[in-house]
Amino acid sequence: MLTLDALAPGELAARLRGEGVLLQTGPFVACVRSPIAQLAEGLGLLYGAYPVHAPGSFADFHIHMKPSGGLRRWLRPQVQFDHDGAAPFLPLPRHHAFPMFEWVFNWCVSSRAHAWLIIHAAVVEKDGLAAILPAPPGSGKSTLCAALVQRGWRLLSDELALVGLHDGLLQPLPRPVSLKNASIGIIQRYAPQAVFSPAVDDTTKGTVAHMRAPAASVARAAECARPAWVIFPRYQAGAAPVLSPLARAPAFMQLAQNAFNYNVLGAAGFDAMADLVERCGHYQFSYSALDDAIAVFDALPRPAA
Amino acid sequence: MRWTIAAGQALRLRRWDQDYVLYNERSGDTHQLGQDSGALLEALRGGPADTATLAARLGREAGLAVDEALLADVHALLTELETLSVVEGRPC
Repeated sequence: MLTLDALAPGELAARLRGEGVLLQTGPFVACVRSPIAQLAEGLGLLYGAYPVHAPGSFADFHIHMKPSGGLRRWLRPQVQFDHDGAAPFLPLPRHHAFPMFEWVFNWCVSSRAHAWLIIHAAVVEKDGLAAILPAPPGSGKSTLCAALVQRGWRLLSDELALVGLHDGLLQPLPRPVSLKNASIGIIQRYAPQAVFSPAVDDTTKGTVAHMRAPAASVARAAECARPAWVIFPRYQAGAAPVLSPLARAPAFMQLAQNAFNYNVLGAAGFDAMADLVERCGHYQFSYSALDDAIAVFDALPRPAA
Repeated sequence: MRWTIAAGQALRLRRWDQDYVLYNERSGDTHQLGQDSGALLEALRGGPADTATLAARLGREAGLAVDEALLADVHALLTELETLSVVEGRPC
């Protein structure tokens, strides 16, 4: 299939301005339309390896990022997410267009994709087993995820764990890893070869940049993974790495609190979560040095077959 | 008082070690329950029972004699489960 980086020069921008680019990430196809240069640049830099479907193909989501109208077209210009004629979010400064696209995509999946139980978590996989890292913002989840995928772990997602309701497998959705503030420099030094979007200042989350997903992870986006561990990470400056077992019932409750659609799914969500909890080992993990964290993850006890 | 699983509750209950989680079909809430509450619900799977019968079942499992204190504890747990609409109590 055609990938985005195979589009002829100017074709990406032309499609974005016109009928849209049908971009596949994981199981979803998004029709992306926008005349905003920063978004085209971000897509070209970070989504080059992703499949692009033919114009007119089916799309799961329609993401139209358009300039705000009126004076805002010129005076402190803004970008707005148009959702079938409605604007569910406030506009943002136009130079926030690429991070806004990422947040909008997350919203589309987390509010619509109810064929899966969706947990706010990073997911990484190695040797056939996946670790789910649920955590609220600020816990160091994305920093840890970025480091792991630069050290041999496959990226399934840095934000959304998609748990199959019927088979319990984890559906990959490898997309750029969102990093904030000091984490940007930390990962840039940790992985000098990694590709980053330009940093965007003064967002509601501070300074934000996105790290391109490893090509090998994108290539394996159709390969679901067996969950083996649920690890609640917490960055603590200066802390030695400590991996502490967590009982299943409190792990269940914490996972449910971190799930976007647990309540929407009702009993099916309960069953999927309980099955997930039963097949995984559960831990709390505090760390400070990334190499220490990698070593702990590489030595995680393998579950019984 | 005769206790039964509340109408509309499928008793979607999972147990790990001494802890339970329960899906409340009526409210959509999920509850983490301790050993005693979970054991009471499992005992009620077998059918309606009065407080004394349930206390006897729990007492056997825990190796405790059925006395006024155990009866009061069981009644308190059942009352709490009733407020969650998980069990229903009817006068005998």
